[in-house]
Amino acid sequence: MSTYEDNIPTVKDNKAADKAQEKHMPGDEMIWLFLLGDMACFSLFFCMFAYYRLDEIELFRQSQAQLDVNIGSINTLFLLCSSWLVVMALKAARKGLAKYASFSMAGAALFGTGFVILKTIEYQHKAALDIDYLSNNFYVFYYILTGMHYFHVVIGVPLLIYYAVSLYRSKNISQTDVDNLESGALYWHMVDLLWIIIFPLVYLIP
Amino acid sequence: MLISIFSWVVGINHGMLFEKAFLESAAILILAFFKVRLVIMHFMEVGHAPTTLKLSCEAWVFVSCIGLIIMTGGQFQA
Repeated sequence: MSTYEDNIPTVKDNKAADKAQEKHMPGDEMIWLFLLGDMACFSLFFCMFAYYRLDEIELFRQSQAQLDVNIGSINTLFLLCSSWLVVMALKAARKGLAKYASFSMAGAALFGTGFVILKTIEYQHKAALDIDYLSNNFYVFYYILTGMHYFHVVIGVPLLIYYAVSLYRSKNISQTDVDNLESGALYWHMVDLLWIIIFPLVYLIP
Repeated sequence: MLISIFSWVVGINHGMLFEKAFLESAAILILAFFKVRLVIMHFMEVGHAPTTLKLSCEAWVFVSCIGLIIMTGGQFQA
């Protein structure tokens, strides 16, 4: 038979409850399965790039010298700013500040669009120099890695615009809206972190 | 942001950080993966996520970083 003392939560119980509350799973299991799978695929391509680089180091260095480091660096800053604005948007949405969240999301979409424009200009420069994905092994990987990433950004920007518009129109934000927003934000952060690796690997390492 | 600008400068002026290309490559990759870890832990809020997710992400960062450093350094060992 339990006594009154047994039912009083102890300090230890409270600590355990606090700890459980602190642990929050951003997004759901399915989005994480997709993100980690995508990240693992990119890792394989990174390793393949490094492996082929071992055999043709001079060719890779000469080809790397033709890339525009300035455009790549500006794009890195664009994606970092964009990711930060998505964090701000999510925080605002959790507090119910729909308009603020909407403007932050629109800013993030603007930086994402900037990335797409600069990357398109870079591809056009390469095309003008008669460089394509069959030019040499370096460019095979350059177009695979940056192309797949570009494709991710092209999917992500309309998603951010959709969130910005729906947040602007919504009068109150439900928990489901926040959950959806979390999943979209996770996807966009993954796009950012993949570029953080692609840029030094393809453009910078000597 | 500062790390990105630093990497930008190092990328333009090769040999600025270390004379040996292997060390410079390793430093650039470590900085990149440090930034990636910051994005995962803070922007993606994995720092407060359940241990399984946290460990999976940490493992991906660690394995990818070490793997790439070893592979990009291979040419200087041969």
